[in-house]
Amino acid sequence: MSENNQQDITKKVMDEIQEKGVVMRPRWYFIGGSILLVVGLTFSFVIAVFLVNIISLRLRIDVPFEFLRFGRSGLGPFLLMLPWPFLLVAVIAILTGLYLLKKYDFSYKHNFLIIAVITIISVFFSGVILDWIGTNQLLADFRPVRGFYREVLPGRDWVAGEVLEVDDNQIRIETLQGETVTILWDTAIIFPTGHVFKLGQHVRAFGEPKDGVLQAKGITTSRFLKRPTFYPRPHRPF
Amino acid sequence: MPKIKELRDEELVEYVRSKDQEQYREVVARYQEKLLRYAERIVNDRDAAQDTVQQAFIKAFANLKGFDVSRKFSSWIYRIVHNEAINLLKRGSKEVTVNPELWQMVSDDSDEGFEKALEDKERDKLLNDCLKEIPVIYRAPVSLFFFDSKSYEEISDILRMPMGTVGTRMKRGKKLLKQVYLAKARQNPFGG
Repeated sequence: MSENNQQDITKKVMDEIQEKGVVMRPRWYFIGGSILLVVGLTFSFVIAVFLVNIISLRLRIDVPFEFLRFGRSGLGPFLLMLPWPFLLVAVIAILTGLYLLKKYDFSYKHNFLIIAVITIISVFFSGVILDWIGTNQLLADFRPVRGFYREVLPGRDWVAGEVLEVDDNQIRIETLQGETVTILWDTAIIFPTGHVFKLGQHVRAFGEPKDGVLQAKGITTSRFLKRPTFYPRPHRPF
Repeated sequence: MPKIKELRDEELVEYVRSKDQEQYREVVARYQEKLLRYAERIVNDRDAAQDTVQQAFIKAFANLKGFDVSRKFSSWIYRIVHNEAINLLKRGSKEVTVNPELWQMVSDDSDEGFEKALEDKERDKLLNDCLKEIPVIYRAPVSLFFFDSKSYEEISDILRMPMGTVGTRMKRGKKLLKQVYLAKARQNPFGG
């Protein structure tokens, strides 16, 4: 390249910097960017871990595949019981986290697919472990998230507890939260474990809450009653 | 005032951003030629390459305080130019398309001629001609390796890809170059 051409580029660059008033971005701009990156990354993964923890709790409460005991089969019932909104937000949080992770230098020095897989597995196990060590029991009493636990976790059309009274086409039970719930049924009900209930027996009923009672579609004796140890208090008593 | 010409790139950058911004002129002077050639090999157009390099230098100036002086400045500035060049290709679809007739002639015949050509004085011209025919994902690492004498680690930093991927693309790129060379040799067996 000729001397003139070299001078030409240098001159053009320096002239443009001066004419357009190009200034160097201040150092705090980059420090701020780094801080935001760390915060965003942390926030994304904390959200993802928390939601996986909630999903784990929810699946323990709802007892996956229990629908099979009520004679229903196929993937449909299981897909219906999956907490899709949590799942969706958790996936978005993980993707956001991975996107931010890509901004770091180490992410391109290694195979990013492996980094992503390790991250996803870590998030999954962290969430499940968080649930199993009883974090939700602590969080449910923590004021900022107490409302979340009361609003979001219950509301499924089921109730479980110990039988207090047995009558024709109805029973009264006491839930683990100490509330008394009446369960009614008609001819369209399913009894996978039989229709004779005894006092003190643990049962689980599915149906529609109506006028302060649960109109049951199915009642089963429950060996899962003591799992999980934590049951959130329902926001809407039966 | 230190002797500007004797400063290492990273020391010069530190000096420019903390003491005398006018000395950015020296940074531009040190890199413009190499970067212009690199950009030209990527975009295959001299004027476009010149614009790309100018814009890259302006961008680098604005972000100079974000450069970590413990890293290599050359990788950083090459990275900016590479991004600008790729953006230009995407905007204008200036990516070269491979001559289909040439590809039809590609074969895995003896590579003696190619290996020899890589060693002789005509290497640069030969590579330049053949380089235009291969896709940009191979062209960039091969170009950085052969023309800019960058190590695999530096190429990894510039193109932001793992060293393994650099190795794979180099291998594939060299193979494509060889095939293009052989095809060109068949088209024009008497040289020139």
